[in-house]
Amino acid sequence: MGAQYRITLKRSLHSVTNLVIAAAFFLLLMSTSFSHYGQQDSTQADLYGAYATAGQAVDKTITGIEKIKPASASVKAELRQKKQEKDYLDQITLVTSGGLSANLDEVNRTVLAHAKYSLRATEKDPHVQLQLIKYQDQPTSHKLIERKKDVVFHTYLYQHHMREIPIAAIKAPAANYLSDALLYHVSPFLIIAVFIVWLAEFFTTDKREGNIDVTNTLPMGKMKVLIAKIGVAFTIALPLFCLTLLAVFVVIGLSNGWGSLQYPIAYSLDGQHAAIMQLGEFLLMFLGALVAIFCFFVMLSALFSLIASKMSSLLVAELLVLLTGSSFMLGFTKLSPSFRFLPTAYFDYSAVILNSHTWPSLDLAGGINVLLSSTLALLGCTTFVIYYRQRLLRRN
Amino acid sequence: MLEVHDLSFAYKDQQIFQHLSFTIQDGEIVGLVAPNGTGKTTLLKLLCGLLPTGIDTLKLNGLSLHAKRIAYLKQLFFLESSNQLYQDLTVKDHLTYVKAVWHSKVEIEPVVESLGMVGYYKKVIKDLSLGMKQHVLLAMYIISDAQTMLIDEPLNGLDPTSIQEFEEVFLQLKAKGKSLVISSHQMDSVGRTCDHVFFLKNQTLHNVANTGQDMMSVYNHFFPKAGA
Repeated sequence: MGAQYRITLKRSLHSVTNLVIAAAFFLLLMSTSFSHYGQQDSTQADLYGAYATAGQAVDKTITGIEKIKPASASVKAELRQKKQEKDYLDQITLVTSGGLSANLDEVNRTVLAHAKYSLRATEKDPHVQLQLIKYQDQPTSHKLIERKKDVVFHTYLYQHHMREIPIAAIKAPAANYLSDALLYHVSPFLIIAVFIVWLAEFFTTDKREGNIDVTNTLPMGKMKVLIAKIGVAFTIALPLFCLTLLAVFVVIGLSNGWGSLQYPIAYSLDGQHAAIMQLGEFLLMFLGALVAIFCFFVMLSALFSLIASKMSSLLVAELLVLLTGSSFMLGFTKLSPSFRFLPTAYFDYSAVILNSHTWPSLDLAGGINVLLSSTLALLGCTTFVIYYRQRLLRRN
Repeated sequence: MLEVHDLSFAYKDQQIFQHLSFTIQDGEIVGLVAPNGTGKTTLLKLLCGLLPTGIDTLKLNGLSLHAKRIAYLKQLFFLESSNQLYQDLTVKDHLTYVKAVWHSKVEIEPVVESLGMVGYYKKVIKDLSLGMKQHVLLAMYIISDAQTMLIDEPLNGLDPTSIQEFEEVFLQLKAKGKSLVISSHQMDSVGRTCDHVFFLKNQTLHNVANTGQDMMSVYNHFFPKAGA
């Protein structure tokens, strides 16, 4: 099988598709950077501006409330709450008035104080109308869990003396840029789709180039030939993607700085408690999820390649399987809890890692188990198809 | 020894072969002759299991294709044409691969030297002429060291010197006890190298022993020209 692996690897290394796929990954991951091309880095000013805007909005609300005559008890309570809120926002505005020279710890301390106040207010009254700080490209939510996330996030920044880097940062350092791209900017489905194109091309090479008869007369089991192919898929496609990640990291790092893999991402596993995940942890989880998803699609390609003779057929079949995992499709019907045992529930790795999905699913470890179990099931199907084909050749 | 028993094959509604039975002994060269499109390549594909056959139809040295497929294929080498070579890989890659997969003890270098392939041993297949590719194919057959070799029109694209060279190699392989089935349109070459010739006509094989007769005349007997 070693010789089969080596020749398949050599053939595949010569394929131009590798370059095309690497370029596609690179362009996808760099798309955020390209979209910011030529823009001034106003990230910090925008962030401080968001605090000031929130303060002005609360000011307006207060003015409106004060005009209500006679003021009922509920109006007075609302006015009191808004004035407290304004106090916290004013403190932020005060310490950030120095712009980029503002003391980092002071900024973090006042933002944390505001986050803690917002949490207390929401815990006291879940329907309280807080003036949320509107970061660019980030949705706002009045849910209690979001306030808890704010508190753990800003506590972490304060304790680790780190500057907040918004998701929409124009010149985010490499660690943040890469994580934000994988989490928020580049759809997991696009990345998986690029892998699928590579796999469809790779698994139909013999049929396309007319070498299938060579493979079929080799003195070795068909399963061994297929396993050699699967080995080559892992040797080329995943390292190719990792090299592209590294290239993007270096390109961004050289222009925007490297950042820290200890930078926090706030998330919640159960919707009740907030927790912190560092960028380094996220990247490891991402790679784990990606390897499991890749295993599934490699085995699916191997199985489909026994049935479909054309690359286009294989491509369409696999893309249809991929689409069943999109939130658009999953939003169509009410899904039964048993859906969590289907690999489809885990294609959107960013939603699974951050537990931000709306469909039934297990946690990341459970998802990886489901994907790997499905891969084994596909391996069983592939073995059966090969065995059945050989039986068919024994025509009476 | 290759034993074929009651081999029939139809493609869609067209019967290609009916009830073929024959044996090819070790150290025997058999020619396979017929006009284009009659089924020569189909027969070779059937012999190596690329097309479906009955359970006990094919046996190679006592091993049934269906019962012991891998052991059967280990004793056989067939590559339909030089178009099936891997275009981006070198001659060296191909020969090393065949040696490893067929677990052959035949050394590569002497074969490359004897066939005059040293000059393009490290070149990729797509940069070779048809004649060079035919040499690569022949080298692969030799290096596989398979007991039975099914060779489809090996002399296409060869100059007279190379044709002589190929014929010498066929006779050397025969001397080593290998069985060769060679499909060819070159009747003079068939007459020089083959012990028997299978003329494929009307879905059956006509086995003609080579006694030194003019093979072109025999061919014309089986396949007379239109209007003759």
